[in-house]
Amino acid sequence: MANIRLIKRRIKSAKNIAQITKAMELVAASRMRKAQAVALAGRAYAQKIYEMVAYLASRVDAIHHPLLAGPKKISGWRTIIVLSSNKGLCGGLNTNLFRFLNREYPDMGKHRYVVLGSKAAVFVSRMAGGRVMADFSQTVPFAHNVAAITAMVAEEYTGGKTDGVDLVYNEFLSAIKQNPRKKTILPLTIEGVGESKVKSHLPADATHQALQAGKSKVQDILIEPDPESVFAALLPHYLENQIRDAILQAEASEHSARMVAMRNATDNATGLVGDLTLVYNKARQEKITYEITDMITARLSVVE
Amino acid sequence: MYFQLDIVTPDRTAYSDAVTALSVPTPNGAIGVLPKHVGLFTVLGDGEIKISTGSKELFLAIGGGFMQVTREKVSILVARAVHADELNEKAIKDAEAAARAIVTSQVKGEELAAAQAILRRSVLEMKVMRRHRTPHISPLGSH
Repeated sequence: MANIRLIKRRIKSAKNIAQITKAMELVAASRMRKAQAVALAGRAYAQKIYEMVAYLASRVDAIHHPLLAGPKKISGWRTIIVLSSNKGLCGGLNTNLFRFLNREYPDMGKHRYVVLGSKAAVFVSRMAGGRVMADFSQTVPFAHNVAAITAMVAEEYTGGKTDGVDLVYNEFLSAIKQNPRKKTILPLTIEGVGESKVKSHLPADATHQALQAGKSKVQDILIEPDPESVFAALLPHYLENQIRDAILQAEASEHSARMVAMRNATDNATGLVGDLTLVYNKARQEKITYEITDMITARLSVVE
Repeated sequence: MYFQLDIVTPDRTAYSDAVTALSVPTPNGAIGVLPKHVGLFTVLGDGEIKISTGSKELFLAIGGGFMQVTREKVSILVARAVHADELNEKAIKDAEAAARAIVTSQVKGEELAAAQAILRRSVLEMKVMRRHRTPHISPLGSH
């Protein structure tokens, strides 16, 4: 019967799919372990340097380094670095990120974008065509782009071409949980750090004024050898580190999401094989019964 | 009197505990930190960190980085930090490899610089390791 052959074919293809997704799951799992180890190892450092810079930025004069200053003129847009994956098949990871991006920046066409990952490149150019400044998707691993991106956004910012720089990426929380996240790296905002006396939502120049006003309250802090050379070393390093950390987190998220997605696909395929086998057996039994009935009917008619 | 010290590198947290005194290398010479030190932020150079925990002294070989001293704690961020007891024959091998690299590839500036960095590091690690094997008490700040 044609029906039985059809079912058999479907079982076979479901089995093949399960095999492929299983293999992809294993690959993703081993990549995830590596990416996860790297991402988690760097997290403490990234967190510390973020706190350090915020702490210092709230306590010193902005004249010591161009990156300390607030935006020169209000251009009305921000530079957004969007980190997605190059490949799909990772569940809702990218979709969630893009939805988040859309929500955080309702008028996407106003801002400028640096994208890593071809999924982000496609999405951003669809939503805000012509506002993509650079697409670094082709250089893998993405961590190799850190220096170039840092130089680019730092120049944009000090040149007064942008109001600030944000990172949008999937933060790696655990193998089954990733969270879209926005992190502002420029201007050097002071968000909830330690005993900071400055309001977090103030831009850097307002912070500076607030500091001037209450100068006596500012903690006596020595900077050695001198603020210029400290900031010249610290700030580029800070930017690079923050971008690198985001990239590593995004990579760990991608592999975890893919692993989970592939496991679900394998489970679904296996379930489908089970269901189809049941249908197949039923059809086969039906066929046998039919044949027996047929034979008996034939015999009876011959005997008579 | 103790204060909290954290030494963090991009790969790991190399040290996190309460200590009594600390000595770090800066481009302008060593700085000693005792409890209730004034707020300080400084650049660190390649060199060794000496940690006193009251009962014993620890040495770490570090790459360049930054140190932040606040009233509550001291945070050190460095490119690299290796405990004296983590150093072993590997350091010697590194030094050898670096020496060989310099001899063979003197032509290329960038490689030469990298080899010199490795050599500098392994010399430093050897120093820390020797220090660790023959502990001697030196008053802090006598650098």
